[in-house]
Amino acid sequence: MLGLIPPGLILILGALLIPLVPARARSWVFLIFPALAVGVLANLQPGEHLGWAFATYELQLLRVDALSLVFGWVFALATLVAGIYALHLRDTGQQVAALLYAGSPLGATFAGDLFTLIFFWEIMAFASAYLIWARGTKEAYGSAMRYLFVHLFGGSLLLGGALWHIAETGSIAFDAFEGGIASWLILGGFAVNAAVVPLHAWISDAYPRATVTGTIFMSALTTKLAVYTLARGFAGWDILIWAGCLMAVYGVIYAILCNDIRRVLSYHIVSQLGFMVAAIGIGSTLAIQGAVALAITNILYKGLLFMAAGAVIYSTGESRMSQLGGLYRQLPAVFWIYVVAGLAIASAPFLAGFISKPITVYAAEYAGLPGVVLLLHLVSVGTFLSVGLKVPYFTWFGGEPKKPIQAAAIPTNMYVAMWLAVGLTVLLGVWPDPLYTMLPGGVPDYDPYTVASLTKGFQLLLFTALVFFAITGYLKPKQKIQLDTDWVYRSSARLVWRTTVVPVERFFKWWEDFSWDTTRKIARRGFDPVAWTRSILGRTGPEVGIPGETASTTLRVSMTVMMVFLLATIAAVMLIIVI
Amino acid sequence: MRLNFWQLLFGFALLGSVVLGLMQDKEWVYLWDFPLFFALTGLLGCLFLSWVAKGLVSPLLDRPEDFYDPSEKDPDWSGESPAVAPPASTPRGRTPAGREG
Repeated sequence: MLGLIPPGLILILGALLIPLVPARARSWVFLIFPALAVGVLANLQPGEHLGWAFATYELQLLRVDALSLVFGWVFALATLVAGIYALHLRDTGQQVAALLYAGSPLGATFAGDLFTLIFFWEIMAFASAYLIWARGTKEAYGSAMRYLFVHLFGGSLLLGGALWHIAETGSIAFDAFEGGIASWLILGGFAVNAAVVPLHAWISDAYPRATVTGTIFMSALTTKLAVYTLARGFAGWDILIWAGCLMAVYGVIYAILCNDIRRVLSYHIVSQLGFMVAAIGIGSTLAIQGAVALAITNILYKGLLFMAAGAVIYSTGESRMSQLGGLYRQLPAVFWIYVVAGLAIASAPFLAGFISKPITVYAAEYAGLPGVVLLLHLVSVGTFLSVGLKVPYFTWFGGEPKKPIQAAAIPTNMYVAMWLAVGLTVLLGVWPDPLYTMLPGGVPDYDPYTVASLTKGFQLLLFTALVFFAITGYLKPKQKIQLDTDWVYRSSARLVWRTTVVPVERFFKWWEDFSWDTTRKIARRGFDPVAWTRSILGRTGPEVGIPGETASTTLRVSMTVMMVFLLATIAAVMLIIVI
Repeated sequence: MRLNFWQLLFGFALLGSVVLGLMQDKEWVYLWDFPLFFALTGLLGCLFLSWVAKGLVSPLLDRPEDFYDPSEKDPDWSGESPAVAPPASTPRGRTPAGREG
């Protein structure tokens, strides 16, 4: 039955097949797999599931309900759009990694048990790390390694928690968690992927250094899968409300400061994830609907922002606003595309953000959390300030670039993908019903278009813009980077190296030198009288192989002495261990 | 001061949003039911966040671009952008992995 193929496996199968396709057709064939996945998704009905007996457990490869279906749709569509954006790419490694990467969150979304979830979770970490490696630069290499370590750490928490949970409850099902150490470990694993402060630094470290096309996949998938898993497992956990608020504020402050366009967007992902995490923490039906709607629309316009930023980088070979400026004459279309996405993320009326973000704030209001509401309104201001105003102003206007820039032509396929996303952003903005009907728990009890909500929206944006234009000089990006929590593992790396690796290495080197030296001395003085006599007489010569020397004896004795030293070493180590 | 078309449009929009807010006759329950609450949030919030970021956080956490790694100072985009010429002889700071024509 075609309907019951896990859509994630289609993409993963695609990753295996795509290297066999002729190079010229490869990027076109790439699109077939997400398109197939969309076709499969269209046939899935809520309530269907596909089990698979594995050892003594019954794995749930496919569990279809409203929550998994809506995320499945957006992951498949995002992969399709990102595939179009990457159509000009001639890099098999990236194409394979991208398909493998896109398939894993899709698989994880429909996973009904913890083992299947973890299986796809780990594939996701490795496949996405490749998209950073593929940049091929030294800093990207380091960044990818850090990314991988952080995600493996998160994956280990998840695995440990899952095993604990299974031992405790005997069930491998992935449903809402009750509490206890196992649940907290799993929450930690999800929190790494959801970029919960202070575990968020991988996002601003890795995304700006990944390839132009790779980042589009990354911005759409990893973090939003975490939103899905949190919504499924931890809805209504109070701690998430405060974690979300912290993320929202933290991300936006950094976004106001950063210089690299894609780093601004990365920090802003943290901020937007804050809205979703807080809404999941509130946990009411409306709040979950808000979190899901925001995640879905966010994939759309955040992807669009990264696509526009990628187009700038592709065209100019520069990613820092301090070096850019005055690009409007050369890249006007990209500017307008960016502005649509920037307004959408600031939830301007008639764009996708307007029909999703206010639901989360409204849910907080409804839950009786006025402090959270005020904070989220404040963060909305920062959103528009950093992503909607600062980036476009200092990239496309704001004086001349430091070095003259000759923008290269942008491939048509990139424009097609961007306009497609613009179309979807506007469409969902004016006609939210298709999204609203897919949300878990039915159509949300929220009307986005009232005179009051439009007034709020316009007032907030217009007055933020007024202040921005008054203080542009103050907000000019500096050619600096900002320390973040990754400082802890980046700066301590050298210290750890010096304290753990270097002394051990030195000790063994000293021991090796010493034993060799001693062996040589003993062998030479004891069993090679010729050489000894020579050294006494002050004549030099080769130490081994001279006529008359008993080479085999020398070797045997030196081996014996070496063995003694080796045994002594082992004995010493054992002694230390015993003590 | 002469205003251009966009500035005038912006000014009218500002005014329009304020008038629209004042026209609505809604009971006050929360702070954000005040008709000009969102205008003030935009105005003061923007100033406040700019000050926190630029005035408080920036002096504390700003570091030179090569703080962690000297090669960060001038990132190499040659593999990604046709606008940048590939490094001439020895590929500077490149790992041998993962690239084909």
